[in-house]
Amino acid sequence: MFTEEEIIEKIQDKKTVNYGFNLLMDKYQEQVYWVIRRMVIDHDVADDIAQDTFVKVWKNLSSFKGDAKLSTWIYRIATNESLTYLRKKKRRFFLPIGDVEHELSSSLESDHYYSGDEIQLKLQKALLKLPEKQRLVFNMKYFEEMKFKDIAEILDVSVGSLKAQYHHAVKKIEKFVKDD
Amino acid sequence: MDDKKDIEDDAIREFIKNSSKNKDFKVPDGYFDGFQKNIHARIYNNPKSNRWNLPQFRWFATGFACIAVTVILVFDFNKNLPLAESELSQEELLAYFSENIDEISETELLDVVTEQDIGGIVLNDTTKTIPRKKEEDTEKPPSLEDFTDEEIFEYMLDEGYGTGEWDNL
Repeated sequence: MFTEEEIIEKIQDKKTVNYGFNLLMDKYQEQVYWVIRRMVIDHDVADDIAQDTFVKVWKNLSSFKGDAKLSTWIYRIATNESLTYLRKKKRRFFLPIGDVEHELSSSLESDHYYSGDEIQLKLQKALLKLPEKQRLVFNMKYFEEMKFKDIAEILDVSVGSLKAQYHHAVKKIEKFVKDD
Repeated sequence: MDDKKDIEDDAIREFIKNSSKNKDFKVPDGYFDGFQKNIHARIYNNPKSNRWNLPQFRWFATGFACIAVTVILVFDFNKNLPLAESELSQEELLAYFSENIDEISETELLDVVTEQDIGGIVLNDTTKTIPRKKEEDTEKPPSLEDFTDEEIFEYMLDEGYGTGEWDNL
């Protein structure tokens, strides 16, 4: 497996940019997909957003100067695309937050590609009650096991506020589970 | 500080611990194997829109359009500007008016052509010139000295002199 530095070297050389992009997809496609999937729940939607993310990465490869980590840059595009999708969904159908949560929850239960047990389903439903950013932070920390420092760079917030957000998210999940 | 210590509550920690990761959501078989093909299809099947979406291309196209519009406007504006008389010679002016005489109104002609020019203007493609009348032609009535004997004789015949009409006078 190629390192991030080696991939950057390939994509910054015009002769090897296509090869470098393929290596980039090999390395990040699954992780990026799962971050998106846990946000939008539905596989088809997640597939569309994941594709949009990599197409955007390809189009903007020339503007990547290596100031941030490659993975940070890709995750930032993916999370922005996911949040934009959820906001558009709310705006398009004039849905209040509660209805979006209800819709995602229904989508979770009817999804052919979801096979969680009772506890997992309960956790997912509790997660859907969280504000989008808190859910994103929880997913990245808990499921993707990312470091707070990396999540902070992706979301462009301080590590301190991120830890506070995660703590609040956990507290809320606990409350949702107890009340349910 | 270990990140996992952020989960302070024992109950929720236990609950989350019991919830296994990444096994609840599934993807269709072979989904990730075909993922790159889909991306390639989207990138290479639509290269034109890709180029257009590049920010630097958009700036270039916008800049080029602005320059083109400016050049057209300046050129068109200059074309409609009246030329200074000094920039054209008399011959060029005459040639222009001869070719476009039908499209020019009398008022426009009078604006440009002075009274002195009228004497030598060549109209259209004919070789006829309009001679300038002498001032004395209009002021003095013709006298006998202006006519030859033959002209006088011819005139008298036309008037019936020698046919007896004049004998009765």
